[in-house]
Amino acid sequence: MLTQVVPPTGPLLAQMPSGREIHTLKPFQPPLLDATTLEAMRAPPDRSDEAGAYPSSDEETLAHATPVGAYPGTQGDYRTATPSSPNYY
Amino acid sequence: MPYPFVLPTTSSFSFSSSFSCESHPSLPLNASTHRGVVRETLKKHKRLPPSSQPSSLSSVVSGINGYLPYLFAVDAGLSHKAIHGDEVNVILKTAPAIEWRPTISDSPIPGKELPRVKIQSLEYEVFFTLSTLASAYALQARAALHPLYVTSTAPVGTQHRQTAVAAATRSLLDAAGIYDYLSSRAEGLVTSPPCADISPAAVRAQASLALAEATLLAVLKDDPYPAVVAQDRNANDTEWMYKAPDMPKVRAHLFARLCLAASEHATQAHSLCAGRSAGGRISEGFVRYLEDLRRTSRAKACRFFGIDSELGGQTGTAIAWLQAGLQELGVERKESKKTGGFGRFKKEWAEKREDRKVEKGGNWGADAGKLEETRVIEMLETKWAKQNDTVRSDYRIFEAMDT
Repeated sequence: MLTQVVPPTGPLLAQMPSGREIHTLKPFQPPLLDATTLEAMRAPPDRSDEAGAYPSSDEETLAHATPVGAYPGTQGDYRTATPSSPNYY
Repeated sequence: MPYPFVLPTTSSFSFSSSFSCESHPSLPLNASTHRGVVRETLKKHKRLPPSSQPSSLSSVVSGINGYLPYLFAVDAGLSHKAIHGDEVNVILKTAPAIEWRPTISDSPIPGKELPRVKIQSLEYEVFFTLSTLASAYALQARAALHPLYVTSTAPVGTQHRQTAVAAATRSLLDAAGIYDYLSSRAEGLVTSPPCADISPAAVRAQASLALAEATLLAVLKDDPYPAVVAQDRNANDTEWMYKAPDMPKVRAHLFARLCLAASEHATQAHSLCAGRSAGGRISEGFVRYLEDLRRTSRAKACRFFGIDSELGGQTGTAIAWLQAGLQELGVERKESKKTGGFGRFKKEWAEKREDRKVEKGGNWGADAGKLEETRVIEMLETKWAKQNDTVRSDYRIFEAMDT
């Protein structure tokens, strides 16, 4: 057995065959309401649609809640520092 | 490993404020209720630490699947279509005002969360809801594959590996099907999209991306080499003691062509997303991932052509294929065989960092497997080059003895 010469890569890349598919896409079918659920909705709504009354932001409920026992408006002073922080003292 | 998508969040919305339904008066209220569930699960998901987010994906998916029939009923009602032969009559009172936070659009301020976009038609609600579902499917695929990449515990068994890959493939094909549906739906739209996330180009690119990833999984399922390079770094792995990777020749050639198909899909996705499309730019990170995936797939194809040549006794050609693979990956050729100095240190550091990322379960694999493929190719190249060189020195000894 002889040592084989390593050929240049250019011609190899040029002779690459085409790709081969393995999957066929299953088309998405929009799900439908079942007949009973649809029929039940012929009745008038049993309560008002108040979804829009909730806070619309996903963050605003993250805002600092007032700590228990704090004087109103001073919640900023109660922000907890990380105990391990070197700037704690 | 699929892209680490971030799931969007959305504002609350009351269907009754914009729509009324004469035939089914309770439809708007019920749609709002189910939409409220989706909004809550997305909000909860966002607040979880990255390592616990995978566990909340199933509630996101079931929330959206619960909402979709109502959303499509309102949608059908707007065009007076019948469901089960029952005509639904929905009237638009005022244009809806719904907000969604895009996740793959380019951020005007780097590192900062994207501002929310306001959409004013139910059509884009369909787009956002479905693309969120598809992203959740892609993330479920990631979660299924995660155990295969952890190097701090014993490697998963063959059976477990096959099940994980099969589940991930199903999720990715579901995602691809959804994007395919959206892209055919986008053809009928005349308005320009509110943001890049749901632009026709992005939607089509996402379909190609999911298909590319699913195609690569067909190869990953039976590719023994990534496990071999992972063994190096896994103290709990003992399989190398009794098993060397082997692969039938026919399979090597087939795998190469599957990888080429994956790279064609990734190329298409990349060309759709690079540059400016309707709705604005797509985030640089996502575009880079598409480019990396294209490169990784091409390099994998080269490696399998190399394995094919090596099995046929053509070591020289096999080494050339590996070199072509490294070129595809954009890895600089090291001229001297000496792997030392800073380059090696840098690579080891990058590997360690990626291992740690996998550990913590954050955005691991954001390089589309480039690092892993580089490891595999370099391992094979060292091995085959040594074989080729050894043959030569033996031959020279014989030559010397003859004279």
